[in-house]
Amino acid sequence: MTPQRAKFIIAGIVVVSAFLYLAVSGFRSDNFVYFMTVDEAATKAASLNGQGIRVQGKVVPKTITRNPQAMGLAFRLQGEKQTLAVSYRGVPPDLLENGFPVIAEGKLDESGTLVAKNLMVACPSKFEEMKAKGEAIPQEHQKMVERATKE
Amino acid sequence: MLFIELGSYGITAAFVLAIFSVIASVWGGLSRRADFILAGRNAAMAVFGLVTAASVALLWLLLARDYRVEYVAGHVDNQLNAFYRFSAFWGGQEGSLLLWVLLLCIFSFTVIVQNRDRNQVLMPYVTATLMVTALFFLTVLAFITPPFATLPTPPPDGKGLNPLLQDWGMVIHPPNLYLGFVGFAVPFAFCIGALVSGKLDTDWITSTRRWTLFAWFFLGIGILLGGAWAYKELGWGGYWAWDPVENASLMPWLTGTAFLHSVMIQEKRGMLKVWNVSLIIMTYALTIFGTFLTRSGIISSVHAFASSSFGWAFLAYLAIALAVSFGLVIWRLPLLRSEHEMESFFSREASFLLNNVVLVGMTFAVFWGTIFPVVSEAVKGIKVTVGPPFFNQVNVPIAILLIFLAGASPLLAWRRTSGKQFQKSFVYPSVVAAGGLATLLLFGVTHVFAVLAIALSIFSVATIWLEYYRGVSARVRHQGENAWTAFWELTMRNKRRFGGYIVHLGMAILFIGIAASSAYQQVGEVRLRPGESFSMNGIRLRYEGLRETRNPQYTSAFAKLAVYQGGRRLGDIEPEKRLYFTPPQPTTEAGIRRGFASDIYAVFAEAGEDGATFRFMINPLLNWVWMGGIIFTLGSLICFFPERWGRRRRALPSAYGSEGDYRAPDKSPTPAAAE
Repeated sequence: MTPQRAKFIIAGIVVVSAFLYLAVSGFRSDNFVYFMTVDEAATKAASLNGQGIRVQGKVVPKTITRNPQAMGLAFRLQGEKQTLAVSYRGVPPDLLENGFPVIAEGKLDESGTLVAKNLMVACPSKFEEMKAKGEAIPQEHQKMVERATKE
Repeated sequence: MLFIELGSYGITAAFVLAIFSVIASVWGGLSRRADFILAGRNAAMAVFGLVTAASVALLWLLLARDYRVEYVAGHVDNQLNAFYRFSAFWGGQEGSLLLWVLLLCIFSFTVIVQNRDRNQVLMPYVTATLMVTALFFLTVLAFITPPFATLPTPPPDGKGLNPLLQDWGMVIHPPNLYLGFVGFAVPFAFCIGALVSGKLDTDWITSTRRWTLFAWFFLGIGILLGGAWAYKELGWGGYWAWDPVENASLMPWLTGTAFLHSVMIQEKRGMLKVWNVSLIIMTYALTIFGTFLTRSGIISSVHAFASSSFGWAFLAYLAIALAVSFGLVIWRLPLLRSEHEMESFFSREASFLLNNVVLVGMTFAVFWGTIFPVVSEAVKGIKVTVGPPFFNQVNVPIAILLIFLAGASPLLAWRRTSGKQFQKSFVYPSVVAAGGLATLLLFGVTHVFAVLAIALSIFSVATIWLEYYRGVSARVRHQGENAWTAFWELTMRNKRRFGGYIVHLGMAILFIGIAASSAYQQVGEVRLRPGESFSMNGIRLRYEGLRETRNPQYTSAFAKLAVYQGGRRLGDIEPEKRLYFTPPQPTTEAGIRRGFASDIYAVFAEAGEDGATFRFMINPLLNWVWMGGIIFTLGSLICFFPERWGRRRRALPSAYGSEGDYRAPDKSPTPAAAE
């Protein structure tokens, strides 16, 4: 191998190493967001240490409290055995109603409440799937359908 | 009725004929039997005819609202107008895959016709490769997700088209992206043809230059338009979230960009041959992977359609395609040796090599970040996502390096740039960039990456200016033209080179827009009663009231906001909230006041008697992103047109010759060609 070749290979290694360093440093655990079930989030609060998590569950009926003045929203998510308190500040997403499936992303605070930065509500086409499988659709959705299609 | 049969039998017949075409073409190519090759070619043309017929059938059924067909019942309803019934073709899984294979067949037909008297050695394998790709999609369409499946009892009304898709942007988005995805199959097919036949000169590249440009352009525009749509429709004030399906379209574009550039080095200097075959194979694989990611819902995303059962088929095909393609590369390595050695870091070739490495690196980072949830779940049992922080942290520095390279590379000479040349070329743009940097700092812009990004974009723009200045002044001096004519002639006589510069200009402007709008976006969330105002950064927004309307598809509420700056009323914006009927779904439409310096952006959540909750954003230089995109389009069009189109060539020599430096390949021996 000529010195020329060697020069380029070394340069290549330098470039790739710089890039790998960049990539690996971006892979820090505070950039990670863990998917958890409601039960795991409810019990593991202590060990998480401000880690970002994503939790999926259904909104427990009659737990939605809205505070339009302060642009706050709070509700509980239903898991297998436990429920999880979620709070959110900001413009609430469309479609957040009792019984709806929601994915909440954020961090757990000391009291075990998930302070959500991001709320994602399931797309209506999922309801069509549920209907097809014979699952019960949340009542609120039905009511909204009726409201919308009335007259 | 007739059309349902036409559709389903058409697909089955196409499936059979595609198999025949592959076998006949490959056999004919290997044994050099012209009759077999012709049979394979004709079969491919027949596949085109059959798939077109099936597509027409589906279109007819959608327009006629034939609810016996499950797909029609699932995506159309009695209220839907003709335009959206047409676009419902690609509104769902089956139709979308049919569109993919339809485009592939149209391209295959075009390629066969274009090459009826050319590339005789390559064409059998080109046909076969294109037909293998078609065969994969036809297999899925024939056996796994048939578009013409019927319902036992047709319902009285269909489910209708998802309201999010009832928007012109979403109508053209899939065809647009597919033109890009499918387009890359053509250079890939020629690459496979070159590898199998051993004819690894530049013919496979030069024959598909425009196809590559075509695919790359439409994919790029598709990505930009997707961002523009998201900005208007999704209501979070951004245009890119590093969502898995966004990444799915970006990755082939990145490797496609590398390929587009790298082939120039092979044409000119016979180098980077292994890179070029590898890059197009990667690009093709990423287009298949991208289709898979978007359709299978394996990675949860805002775009995830109903999760499907055929994801495994895509992965299997991908694995086979990669194994065969790279197997061919390894087999043909002796024929892929570089004709010259790389002599200096400061050379055009070396800058393109760095370009390849950087773009592939970026692709790798995006790929890894995108599939990480699947991997972590398989390995650790827990699903972990890495969001925008990861992608931005890794990709921003790389993008900054890229925009610098785009500017620096044209200033570098082939083989080796002498100190004198370097000085002559680099001083002016560096000074301008430094001036730009100083100005930014002076005005209090201190965000590190924004400053670097903008300064280096200025560097690139300055080099483009320098190139034009040199070319135009040479023409003015020698041809006696005035500056404007010289500008036009220079560009039109060197379309590839100067079209490329214009594309780079567009990218620099786009990059400045991204940097400013990301680093300096301002957000405010507030609840306002009618008559109340909110101020942010010198802009005052006054809520004037709610107004409601209704049409057969939805009811709608508009919140009127007056925009004031320094006491002067600039205009109004009206964010909207719609409630669609079938399927019942609310959507948000942002109210945006677009401007050269910034966008004023508003969405509202609920609105009642006691007021409405608003989210306001000021996005500096956001329109530079779209403006950059328009310039990018212009430059690409210039590159696309033939050099001799509509022009009489003048005999007089000009400073840049008649085709820039990309005409004659350099076959001179290098000094250190010892090996």
